[in-house]
Amino acid sequence: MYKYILKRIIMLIPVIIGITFIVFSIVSFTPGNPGRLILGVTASEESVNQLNEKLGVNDPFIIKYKNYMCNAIKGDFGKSYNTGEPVLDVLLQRFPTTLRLAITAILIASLVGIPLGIISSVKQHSFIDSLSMISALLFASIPGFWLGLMLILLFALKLGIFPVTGDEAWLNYVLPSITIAAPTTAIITRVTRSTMLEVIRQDYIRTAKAKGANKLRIIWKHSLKNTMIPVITIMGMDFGYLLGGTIIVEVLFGMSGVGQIMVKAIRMKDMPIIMASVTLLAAIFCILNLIVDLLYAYIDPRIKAMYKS
Amino acid sequence: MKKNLLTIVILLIIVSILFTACANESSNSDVKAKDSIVIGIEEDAVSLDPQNCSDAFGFEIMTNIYDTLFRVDSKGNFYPCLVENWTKTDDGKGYTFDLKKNVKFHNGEELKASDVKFTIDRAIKSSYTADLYVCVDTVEITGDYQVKVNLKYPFDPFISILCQASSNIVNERAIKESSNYEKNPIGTGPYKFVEWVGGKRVVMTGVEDYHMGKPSIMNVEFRIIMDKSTAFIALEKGEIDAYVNIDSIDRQAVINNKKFDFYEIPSYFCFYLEFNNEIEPFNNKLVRQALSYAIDKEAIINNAKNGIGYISHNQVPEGIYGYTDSVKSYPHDIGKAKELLTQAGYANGFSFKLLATEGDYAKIAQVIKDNLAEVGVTADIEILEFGTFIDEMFGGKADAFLVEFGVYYPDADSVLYRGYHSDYFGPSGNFVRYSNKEVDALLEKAKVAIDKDDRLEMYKEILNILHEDAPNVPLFINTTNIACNANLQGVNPDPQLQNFVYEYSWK
Repeated sequence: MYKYILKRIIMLIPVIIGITFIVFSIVSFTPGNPGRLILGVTASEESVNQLNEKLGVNDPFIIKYKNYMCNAIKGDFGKSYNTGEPVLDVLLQRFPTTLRLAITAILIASLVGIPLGIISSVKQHSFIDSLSMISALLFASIPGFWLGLMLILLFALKLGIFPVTGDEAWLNYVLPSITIAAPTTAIITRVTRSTMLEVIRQDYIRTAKAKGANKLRIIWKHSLKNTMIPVITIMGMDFGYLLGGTIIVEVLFGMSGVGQIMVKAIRMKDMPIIMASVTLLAAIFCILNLIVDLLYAYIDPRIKAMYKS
Repeated sequence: MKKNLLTIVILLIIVSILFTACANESSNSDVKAKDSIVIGIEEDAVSLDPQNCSDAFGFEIMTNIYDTLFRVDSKGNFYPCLVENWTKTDDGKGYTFDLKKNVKFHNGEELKASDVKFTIDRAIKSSYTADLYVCVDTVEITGDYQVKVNLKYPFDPFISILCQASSNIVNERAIKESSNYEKNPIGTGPYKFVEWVGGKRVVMTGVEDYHMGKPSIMNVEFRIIMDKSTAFIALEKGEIDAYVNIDSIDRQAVINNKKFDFYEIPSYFCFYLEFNNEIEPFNNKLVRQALSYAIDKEAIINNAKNGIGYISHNQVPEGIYGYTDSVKSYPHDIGKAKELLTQAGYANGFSFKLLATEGDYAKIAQVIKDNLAEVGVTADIEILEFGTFIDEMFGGKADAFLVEFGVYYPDADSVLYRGYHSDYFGPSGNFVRYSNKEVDALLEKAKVAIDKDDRLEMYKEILNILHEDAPNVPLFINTTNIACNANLQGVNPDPQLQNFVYEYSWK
């Protein structure tokens, strides 16, 4: 089993290197150069060229990529073209905020979505079922920035419970996390419900009922693990959207995370920041999918056996 | 069962650790003491080093931390700030400045002539400011507190260059000794830099013995709030005391609310419809004039900017030295437009590609498209990403495009020289690819003219010619505003966004 985990972790390395190459190529070959974007439209050609030379923009593509990767392996991720700050410092400072947002959102989504899905499936066609299905449809469709703004208007302004902007205290994270989590929660609820409905109609559940197991035991011990495979798959896939959602929310709620600088960096072709932040988010996504695959083994003994062989 | 319980407990521990880590940071109190102010701005500064900065928000913050040799008041007149007296040679090329004595930088060093020379030399060399200082030849130290600046040619707007944020005077020792200067600025201004939390806030505190008097509000925080809807809510809730440039959607709500004051002035930023004067059919003056008549600037302001903006009458925004009242905008006249098009040989109109980038431009382009459709001209709108848009604009093959330009310094020379002189064809500034020997000669003469009235006359003539030639259509002037708590006094929005908090006070 551990051999399998190790193999998977090692396989991540070429994937991440591939990602860096793709991102570097896209940024290098799209129009616009950092010098011009930083100094503005009316700056003279000489000034722009001088700045571009200083930033090392004019070297051939392969040389630039090689220099970047050699430095990156040593831990030097360069300095932002825009602000001159060392990229590693910027990321280390901002990453915790984004991570907190993402993890809180996943927790909300799973801790609300899964139980709600289970209840809806067990009490199919009841009031709770209809309510949660309609809500799921609603929250899956509502655009994130609108939901965020409405939450701010209601809870931060009218009721005054939460602060509007900033990321100082845990109170600041509540509204943004809910905003990001909403669509994912909706999807998890629906998938849990539909999978559960199938599971409880299986023969082995009927056997358990016949043997006299009570409802809670049936759900918890017999049904849950079988339901989780598709749910976790969806969660793994949806996590990509979740990470993207942090960008919108960070801008809306004024939180200084990775997403906030990423958009500006892409506009200004600030290569060091783009490379580091995009690669970081892509790496997190890969690691999360690895965790999902490993969770399969934890949940389903058949898959565990498959990994072991 | 036990295993699952364990998992849940571990998860809860992880979550609480994550949050205790951030709970250690101090939370902002909403109770504002009367000697502090929180001003919201929409983007973080990039650098607080005046000679290595090109963004408006950096300039806005630096105006309060540093001083320039001269400052500009709310009426646009300059007054000496670090200068005790000054003289100018008769040929207009030499300026001698006597500095105020006993002016201290925030690190305790006294302002000396060497700091001024260091600053100007630095500005000449930096790619961020070289264009602004291209007129300066050498700087001499003629006394401990006396500096002589020699220009390459007589340049009347030189003092207004000295008022720009790029001309903020820095301390030579502070720059040489600091490894991270742009994050730790040292100036002579009314506010001393305290901290800069990237993406969140810049905090500064008042200097008791500031040479122009102690500031009224002693604690200033510039808070970065990128989303304007969020900013408006923060203002309503009282989390910030003022916000620079609120959205036009929220404008009426602020004006109607007695809790807030709203100050709005025309900025120096003007939107232009630029033609490529080199290619057909825009190389025909009659066509350009026809399109100038066809465009309805009122409609653009009403439909694209919710009615907020001022019609541009000529290529120089009003309020900038060199502007003339005598050149008025082309009136909206469909009949005249059609007549001129027929004269030019385009009675059935023509079609062209109109390029624009993201933002307000899409709506403006739409109104223009509708205007031109009335005279049979079809504008195909293409919205491009900014980097791509710039490449197209500089490439010289684009038919027409929409831009917004500000000024380097508030003088007609800044707007007109690089914009319309044939030396600056193409990417250097003359994006419309306009070439007129008469205008070239006048621009060169006006740049170095010593007599103020002569200069005004020359610019009046240039603007008349440009009006006739219509190389582009100046559309409208954008506004800049500050929405603030009604108890705040002394608020004067600056057209270049260099808002001077020193002048503010609480009632």
